[in-house]
Amino acid sequence: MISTGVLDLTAVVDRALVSSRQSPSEGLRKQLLGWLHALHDDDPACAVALASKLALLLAHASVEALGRWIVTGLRMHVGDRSRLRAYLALSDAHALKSLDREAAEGGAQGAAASLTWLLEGLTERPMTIQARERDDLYAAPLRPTLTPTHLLLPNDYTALDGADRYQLYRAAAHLLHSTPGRPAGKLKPMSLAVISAIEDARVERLLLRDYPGIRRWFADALAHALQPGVLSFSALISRMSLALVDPNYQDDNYWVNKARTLFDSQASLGLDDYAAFRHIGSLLANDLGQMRVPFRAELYRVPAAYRDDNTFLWTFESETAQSLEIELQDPPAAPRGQRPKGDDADPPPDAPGAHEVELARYAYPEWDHRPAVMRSDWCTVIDKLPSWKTVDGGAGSPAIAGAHQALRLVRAHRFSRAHRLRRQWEGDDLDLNAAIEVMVAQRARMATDPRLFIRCVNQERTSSVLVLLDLSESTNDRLDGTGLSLLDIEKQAGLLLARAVAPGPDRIAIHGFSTNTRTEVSNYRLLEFGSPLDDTAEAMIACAPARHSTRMGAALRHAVRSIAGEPSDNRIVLLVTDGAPSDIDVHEPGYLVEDARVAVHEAHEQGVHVHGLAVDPHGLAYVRRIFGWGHFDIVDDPRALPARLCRLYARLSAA
Amino acid sequence: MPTSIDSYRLRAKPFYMPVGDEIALYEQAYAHRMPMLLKGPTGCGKTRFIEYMAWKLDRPLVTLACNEDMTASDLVGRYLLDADGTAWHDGPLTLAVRHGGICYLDEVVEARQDTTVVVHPLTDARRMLALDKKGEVVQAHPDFQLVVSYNPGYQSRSKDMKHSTRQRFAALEFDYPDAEIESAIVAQEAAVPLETARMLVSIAHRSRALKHRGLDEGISTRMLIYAARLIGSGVSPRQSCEMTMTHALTDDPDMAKALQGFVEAHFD
Repeated sequence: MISTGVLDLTAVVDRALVSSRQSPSEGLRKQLLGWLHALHDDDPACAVALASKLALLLAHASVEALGRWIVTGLRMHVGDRSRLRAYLALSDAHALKSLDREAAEGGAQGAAASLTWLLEGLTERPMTIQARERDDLYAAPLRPTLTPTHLLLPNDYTALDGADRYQLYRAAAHLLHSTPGRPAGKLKPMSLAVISAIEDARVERLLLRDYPGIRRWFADALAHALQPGVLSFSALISRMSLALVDPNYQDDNYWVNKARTLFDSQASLGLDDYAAFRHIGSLLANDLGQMRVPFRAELYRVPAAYRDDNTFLWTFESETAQSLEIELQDPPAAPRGQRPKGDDADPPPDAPGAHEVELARYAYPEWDHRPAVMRSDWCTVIDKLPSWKTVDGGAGSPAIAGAHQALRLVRAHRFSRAHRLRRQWEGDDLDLNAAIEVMVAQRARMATDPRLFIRCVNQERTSSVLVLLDLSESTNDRLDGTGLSLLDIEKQAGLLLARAVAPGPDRIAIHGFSTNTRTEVSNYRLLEFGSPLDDTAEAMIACAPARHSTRMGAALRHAVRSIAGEPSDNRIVLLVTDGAPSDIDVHEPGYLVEDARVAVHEAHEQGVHVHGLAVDPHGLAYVRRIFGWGHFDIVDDPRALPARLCRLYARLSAA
Repeated sequence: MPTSIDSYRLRAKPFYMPVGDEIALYEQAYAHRMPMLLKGPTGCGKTRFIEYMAWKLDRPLVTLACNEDMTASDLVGRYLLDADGTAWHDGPLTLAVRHGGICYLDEVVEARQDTTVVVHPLTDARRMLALDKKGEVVQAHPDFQLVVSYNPGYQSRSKDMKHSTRQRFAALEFDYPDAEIESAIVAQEAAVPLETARMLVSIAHRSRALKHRGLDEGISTRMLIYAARLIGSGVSPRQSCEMTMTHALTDDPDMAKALQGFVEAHFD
């Protein structure tokens, strides 16, 4: 039920969105509506206060920023409804300041790029950062969740957590020094929490040994989380945590000081003995039990905002209450690029693909690495144009999200590489060798050659580049925080590059491929070499569908054939993919990787340079195998793809 | 312009700390006058190594930084005019060939491929250099050796060595030294405490882990020495690293932030 008596919240939200000219995704709109309802259920006056200012608020801040602003108010004014109402009605002094802060912040995804690099540099292992959405307005603050390959970063950090909130989780101490997934066994929740807090302190000290500068990061955040004088479980943990990191901190609590003494005396013997520290944790938890400090596991959050929730440390046996459901967008175990079962039949008439235009069919060989034979005419590549039906069928207008921006190609160094034409009739400079010959000839009274100038011309080598996009099913997955899929970003990257290249002398084509067994390797010719980049061409790129799998070798051979006739002296195929090659008729791991590798090698022999761009932080092994050392790049943050593609193009096309 | 080969002799012993067997291997290669290719990332010590070897072997070292506008005449020499008429002037390569020096072509891939083919007859059994303009064939001095350097990290298409060129060389691969050795090098070169050098080297290791993941090359030993020199002269570690490493290495604000994070983590 949307209408709530006097106040029609749906109408309020829609009016506010229209007047602020925001058009968020349906999910975000629903989320906004949900917040209003939650406020209304708790205190209708709060919802009314917010509704009255909603248009104004949305004119200043995005929906996500507005969410963080509401959460800030709820956390600042716990249990004080009148002040909360004032905050939501913008009549509180802090409300505007807080709104400005949240509106200026880009959300967890915006910080992902630099944070990923920082963690990867410190731990020397690939990490993926995803935002973790809060589901309930009134829930306790989220904490980061760590797995050996992923970090889920709370999207509900507010300015209350610190000015540089998304950079809080920086040191990855657990990744370097903790053993993940120890059995929790029969440990009580309180013991788990105390042992985890001791383990946090132990690994942070280990990290401090190598990186003394991080003490400031930790001590600041722990001091921020400190609840001095309070005797609740969470407050005691916050006091103990600071005492274990900051030697200057003084606390008057017996238990906190006991923890510090026990910890420090053990630490003086060495920090590597996990069991000893675990024993300290057990002792301290036991003390808390005897002190009758109440503990409610479902309400407890690790006090410091930068620390993760410690699920990394434990495995729980069949206890669903405690084991935290972690939904990764890209579960490492799941096979990628393949459709769910039962989806392999012919597409129904309205399905994408039904109205595609088939242009031509080609047969290509495939390399089978075990018997080391090239299987001739093994794969059928079908040149296609995407169906316009795809657009009508619900994907919205053929515009590509985010493609309105322009990317500037860095090509200054190409112009500076002026080519010198020697022995010219006229020019900017004397050709020293020619001049000397003229003087020699004059003295010898012989006829002279008057062509003794050098002229500089920007005789650029032209390049032809074919961007080959992976259009497999997995690129349809939505990336969190952006509402976009990798497919959208791939299209955006291709289009932006095409726009940047089009005015210059270079030629660009964009193809996309997806495969459904060796008999159907679809190659969508989205933009041809030399054809203008007009509305039709842009719509064609926008229409490209993503489905099926990735048979890279056949697609590469076809791309090389397409670019082979180009007149440029620098021919480049840029392959953008999100994972290792796969297809549903191939079960042997490595088979398609080897075939793709051979296809790349063949391309090099034909003078075509193939470079891989993998949007897969864990892809180092296979991209290196396929493309060879120095001929690939890994893009950790999908949103950086357009910029990386352009940079790569500038580098590869530089003469 | 000095024409005497002796002006190319190194007067003082250059500082070089060996990483492996490279000195012994180079000496063996020199004993056979084998052309050498030194490859490795920017700022890892290739040039310093060849300077040290030239000093150790007591050979003049004729160094040429290659560039795209370099012509064959710039290497072998040309006729110049003087009061009496034309006079031939040996180029640096010819100088080394005639008088028995080590000719070092730094970053050889920067030169156009048609320029570098003039070295071909010098790098096989013929060991000769044809000065076609002068009509002279110079037989290489018994002590002459050709050494080129090259950074395989370059990925520009046109900057690969021709196979016919690179197969003439024996190669020594250089990389950044192990942490302890690199720290000692930085400490020695910049005259800073070993502890400071260790910190800097650890930062460099963090950045090198990001190669292919947003960085084309990590922080080099040379950059570390620059940073250490600034620290040694009283600039704060953070500012030194920012100046010589973070902003020198990348223009990407996210990457700069990550690198700055490494620096912050290391310095108290």
